[in-house]
Amino acid sequence: MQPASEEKSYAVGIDLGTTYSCVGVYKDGEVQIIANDQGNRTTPSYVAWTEQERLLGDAAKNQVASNPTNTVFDAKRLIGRRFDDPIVQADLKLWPFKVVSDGTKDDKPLIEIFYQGVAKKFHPEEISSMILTKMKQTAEAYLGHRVREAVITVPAYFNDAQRQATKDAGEIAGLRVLRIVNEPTAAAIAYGLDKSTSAQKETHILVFDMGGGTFDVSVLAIQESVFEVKATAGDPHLGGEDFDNRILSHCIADFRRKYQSDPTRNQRAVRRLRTQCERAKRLLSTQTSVTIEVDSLHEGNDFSIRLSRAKFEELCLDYFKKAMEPVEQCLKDSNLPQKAISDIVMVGGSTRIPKVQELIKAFFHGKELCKSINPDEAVAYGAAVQAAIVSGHGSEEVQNMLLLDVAPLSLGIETAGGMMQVLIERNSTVSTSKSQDFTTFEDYQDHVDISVYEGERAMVKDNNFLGKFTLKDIPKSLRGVPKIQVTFTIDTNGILQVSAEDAKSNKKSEIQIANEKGRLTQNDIQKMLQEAEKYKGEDEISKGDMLAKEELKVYFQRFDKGIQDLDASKLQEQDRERLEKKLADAYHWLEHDGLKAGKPEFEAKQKELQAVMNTETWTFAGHLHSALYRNDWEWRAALLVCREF
Amino acid sequence: LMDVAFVRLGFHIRSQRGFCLRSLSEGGALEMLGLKGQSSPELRELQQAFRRQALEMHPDRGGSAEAFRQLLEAYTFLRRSLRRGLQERGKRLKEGREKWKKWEEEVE
Repeated sequence: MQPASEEKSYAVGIDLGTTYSCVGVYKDGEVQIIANDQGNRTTPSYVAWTEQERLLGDAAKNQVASNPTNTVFDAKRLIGRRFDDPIVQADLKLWPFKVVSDGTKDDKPLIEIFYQGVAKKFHPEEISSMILTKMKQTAEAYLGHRVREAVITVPAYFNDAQRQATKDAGEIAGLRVLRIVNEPTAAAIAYGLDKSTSAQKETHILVFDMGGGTFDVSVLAIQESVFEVKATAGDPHLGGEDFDNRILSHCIADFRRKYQSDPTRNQRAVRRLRTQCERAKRLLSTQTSVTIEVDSLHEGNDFSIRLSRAKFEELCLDYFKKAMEPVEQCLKDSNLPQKAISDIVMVGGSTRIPKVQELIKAFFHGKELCKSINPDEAVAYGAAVQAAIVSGHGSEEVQNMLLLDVAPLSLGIETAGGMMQVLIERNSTVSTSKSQDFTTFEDYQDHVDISVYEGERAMVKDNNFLGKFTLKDIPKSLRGVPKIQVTFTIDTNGILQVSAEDAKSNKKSEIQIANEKGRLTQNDIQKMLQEAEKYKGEDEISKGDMLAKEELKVYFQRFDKGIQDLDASKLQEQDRERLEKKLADAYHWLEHDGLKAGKPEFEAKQKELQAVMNTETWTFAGHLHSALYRNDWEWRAALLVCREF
Repeated sequence: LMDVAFVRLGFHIRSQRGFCLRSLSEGGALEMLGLKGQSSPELRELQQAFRRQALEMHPDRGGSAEAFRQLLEAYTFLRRSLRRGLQERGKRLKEGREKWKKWEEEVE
């Protein structure tokens, strides 16, 4: 529990999505999903750089067609991956912005943009942190308090590196990441609260979460207030954007056929077309056919095509079918027959697609799907509840809840012959730790290399390498004699720590997988934090400029009114003229030089006017002053409005 | 030769009880789940007991991480032995059924 003396601060839940993000907070006994400054409850996960400034969210997405190379999105598809990852290489071809390798052995991807004439490179974590900053600001504007803590969601099938990287992104955004929660699990909380199952009976639900870029399935057992994840499966790279791409290539093929010219090199054209494809996809969930139209798409040719729902389904059918595999896998892993599932909860925008609903319904022999929760907001809703639970801010209803999540992938080490020895099996409840004894392979071996992997295959070469460390100075003896205990500890965020200990010498060595492979070092994070602060500073400066300008304008009005209110008896004609001239000059200055002036200049100008007022009409200063500040509250209100801005 | 020491972690010794549950006895595990004195509880009973204990011992609910890990270990252990028991029973049943079938066939 938070001591009452401390400044009130809220912990928020953030659904950091591939295409859209959403933020919620638990306040006054309920979850509130917070709308951004545009009034939207979800914010596009976009960051853009224009000539003058950095744009976030809606502002960035709205200008994407005119500024494609400097508008970054899909950072979630890069986060925690290597540049040479085949998925990254495939995605590269579809992105209008540039992605390069950092050239180190970690082969991290970097996003390159041009800002104020200089090429700048960003880690995907930094891009995500900017989006998180936006969500944080949205929450702060609503709450009127600082937000320092957050629960961030990730796809259940995210691996260790991707989780770590997401946590880092939170840190760069200046948030203490209380917990990394799996998206379907968060959605299940939203569902559970909605149903408020107070029954003693155990119920099993299946969460089908298909969003913009990732796809997850989880089976949960809910009993009273305990939410226990039984199994989880998914595809970290399947979602709405893949469907958009299918429509896009269909359109491009059609354009080629019609006009014998290829628009793919024309970034602006592709971007405009993609926006229309996304729109068409959404419309096809409610209507059976739609027309995609883009005027003057490429080389002056207008483009128009009619797309039926049936055609769309045909284009994406293999994706839809692929999405059924994890469902099957998940049921198998949780040892449950189809009929044991009492509810199928649909989450994520792509679950609105009728064909997806049809397929899953058919899989469960015509069972009705649960659509009572908002598919776009459920994840943020659950994250907000979890934030309240973990930070101890929730009401009694949520304080009694407990969430038991699982690790999505098996974790193990390499043993002789390149075999994978699993220590933590997939779908093990976290937080857990497992140890196993190992021994040496050769006589007089004095150290062992311990390579850590995640995945389900028998040979380590087919699995995902996480990190490596060495246990040195093992007392020399024949092979098979030393006893080395390797311990895997996986925390509630699904993040792994490995240690090895020689039983005889008590020599210990450990790694946080954290510091290996593609993950940012603490130094990197510090640097990025400063960078982010700088950006924040820049934002603050421009906000300060605007504020000063507004203050100056308000002062002008008061000044003018002050002069008008003084009659001839109190103000001599020549003084009046001089003052009016001064004011006109100041107006002129504001309209011309004021455009590029900053806070100091505005303040200086205001001081100047005040000085004029004081010296020239000091005899009437008292009167004038009272005229100027008569409506003191009004003045303050005006300033407040500026500040809100 | 030190620098040629391309050493890999060798074959592992599995502890006798399977998964790292050296110090665990069935009685101890049951006690940890609050089912002291009960013999051969059903899976459902185990689950319920685990959830009840988890509500008290999970770090989110003010328990220590270590205590929760031990609880999980006990739960996993009991679940495994239960499953093993069920599998054996299933196997025996199957064997019995086959024997019976064979006998019937012989009689016919």
